[in-house]
Formats: sequence, structure tokens, C-alpha cells
Amino acid sequence: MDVVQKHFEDFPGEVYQDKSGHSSIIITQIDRFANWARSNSLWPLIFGTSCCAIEMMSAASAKYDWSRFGFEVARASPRQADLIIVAGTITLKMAPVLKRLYDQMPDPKYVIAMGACNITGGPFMTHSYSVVNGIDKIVPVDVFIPGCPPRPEALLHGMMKLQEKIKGMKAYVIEKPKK
Amino acid sequence: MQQQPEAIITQIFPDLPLGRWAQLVAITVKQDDLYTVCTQLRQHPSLDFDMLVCLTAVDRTTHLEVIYHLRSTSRNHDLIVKTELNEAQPELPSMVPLWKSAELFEMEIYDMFGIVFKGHPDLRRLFMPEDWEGYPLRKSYNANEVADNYLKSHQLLINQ
Repeated sequence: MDVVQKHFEDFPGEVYQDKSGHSSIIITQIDRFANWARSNSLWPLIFGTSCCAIEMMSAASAKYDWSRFGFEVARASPRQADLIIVAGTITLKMAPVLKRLYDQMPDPKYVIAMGACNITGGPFMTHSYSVVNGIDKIVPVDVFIPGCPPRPEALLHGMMKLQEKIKGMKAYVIEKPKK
Repeated sequence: MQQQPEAIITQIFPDLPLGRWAQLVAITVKQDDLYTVCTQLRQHPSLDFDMLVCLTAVDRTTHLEVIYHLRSTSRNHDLIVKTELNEAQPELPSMVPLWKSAELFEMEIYDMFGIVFKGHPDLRRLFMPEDWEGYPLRKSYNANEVADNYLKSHQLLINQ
């Protein structure tokens, strides 16, 4: 069969097409292929607890528009989401809720810690009786985005870093947090 | 114009030390006399403090201090009532029979300082979880340690 190689910039592999254009051959690795699909269709969970959420909403709206990068559908239920953007301070009262939401999300799932408060506790780091000093104590975090609050550009940058990270992961092995 | 109740208060309570605090008249009352003094402040026709604006507490490390901000809407004057109490036995009479707004203020102070208001209809924690240890706004409180213990005891830590 005579085939011609086609070039697609983003596709992780080689695509060949015969002269009629009806049948194609794809040569790729399953990890690269699955991760390419996965990283370009992340469904974030709507989860905002303070001012970082305002920036997150702005990043989702028409001006910054995170759907350009594949974060189209923000979900209101953790069972339909695979990315949780923790936007805002996590208090000790909120910690069990965050943990439960994370546990309810189906695998593979990813966590972005947005803003100073949930990276280290931020302004509430010392002598605070009510704030969790870093959500990485509670859930495994993939990307930290510093700022108070980070601008939408920073959030988009962090999300694109997460996509890069996903592309380097094993697709069908769930990487559990280190104990 | 705002009135100052200085003259009437020295007339009714000649024994109480009277001072100024941030341009407001302030009196310091002993723990045991508090309820009788407040009843008079509330009921005396020329004082008529019908509104408890704010009720707070401060930990002065040697003792605890509770501060009542009173206002009279009919006479248009304000008063601050302070009382000092021992940290070992922090008890005060509840002001709920005099001012209804004391109910939530007293719950908050009980939550943060552990001061027990006797006669309060429903004294329990307002902001902190029910099973919380200690009183967070006391100066002797180690907040970070208690917060870590809370996460540990609720099995929220990642490496548990």
C-alpha cells in the first residue's frame, strides 16, 4: 500500500495516509497517546474558598479563557472532574471537605495548589489556630502556583506546566503519593 | 451632639473609678458587682443603656479583661464597662437577661477565651469545631501544635 506521511504538530507520533485518504496508520506509544488525550481535556472541579477563586473565575471567563488550553468544562461534582484547583485558604474546618472531595474524584486525578495560603499557610502561617499550613499535608499536590493571589496568567502557566507533567507520566499506572 | 454620662455616673456610683478610654467614659467594676451595676445602668431612667454594642475580652497575661460597650439610644450617650477576672477561675454572670445581643458575644468569648457565663441559655462553641481543645485567643496557647493534632486525630494527614 502506498502511504504518505502527514504532519500534525501536536500529535505525539507518526500518521500515514493512503492516496484515497480513507485509511490511516498511526504509529505511537500508548503512554504518549493516552497522556496527549488526557492532558488536553482536563475537567477542573469548581472549588474556590477565597480571593484566589476570583482570579480563577477570571481565568475561566472570556478575557483569559482557559478553554483555549483544554480546560473547557468546569464541573460542579467531584465525580465528573479529574483536576482540583484549590483556590484559597483551607481552614481546619474545610480540610475534611477538601479531603473528601479529593477522595471522590475518579483516577487519574491532579491537584493544583493556587496561592500562598494553601502552599504554606501564607499570612496565616505562624500562630494561627484555624488554617492548614500547606495542603500538601492533606492531598498530594502536582503544581504549586505562588502569589497572593496569582494573576490569571500565572494560573494558566501553572496549568500548562501540569499538562507537561502529565505528558511525562505513566498512563496506566496510578502514581500514589510517597509515604 | 453626643452626650457624656460622666456626671450622672459619679452621682449614682460614687465608689467606682471613672476614667477615659478613647474619648469615651470608662468604669472598672469588680467581678462580683458586675451584674448589679449593669442592671442599674440598664434600668435607671436617666442612664437607660438599652443597647450592648460590643462585648469583647483581652488576655493581659496576668489576668483576663472583659469589656462591655454600652449605648443609650434615648439619651444619646456611651459608656465602657471593664472588668478584670482571674485566669484560674474565669466566671461571669451572663448579661442575656439585660441585653439579648449578649448571647452571641458571650458564645464567642467562651469559644476563644474559655470564660464561662453563668446563666447563659446555650453556652457552647460558636466558631471552632465541637471537639476542639483549648481556647485559641489565650496568650499561653500553642496554636500550631493544636492545629497539627487536630489534623492527626481526624486522620487527614497524607502519610497516615
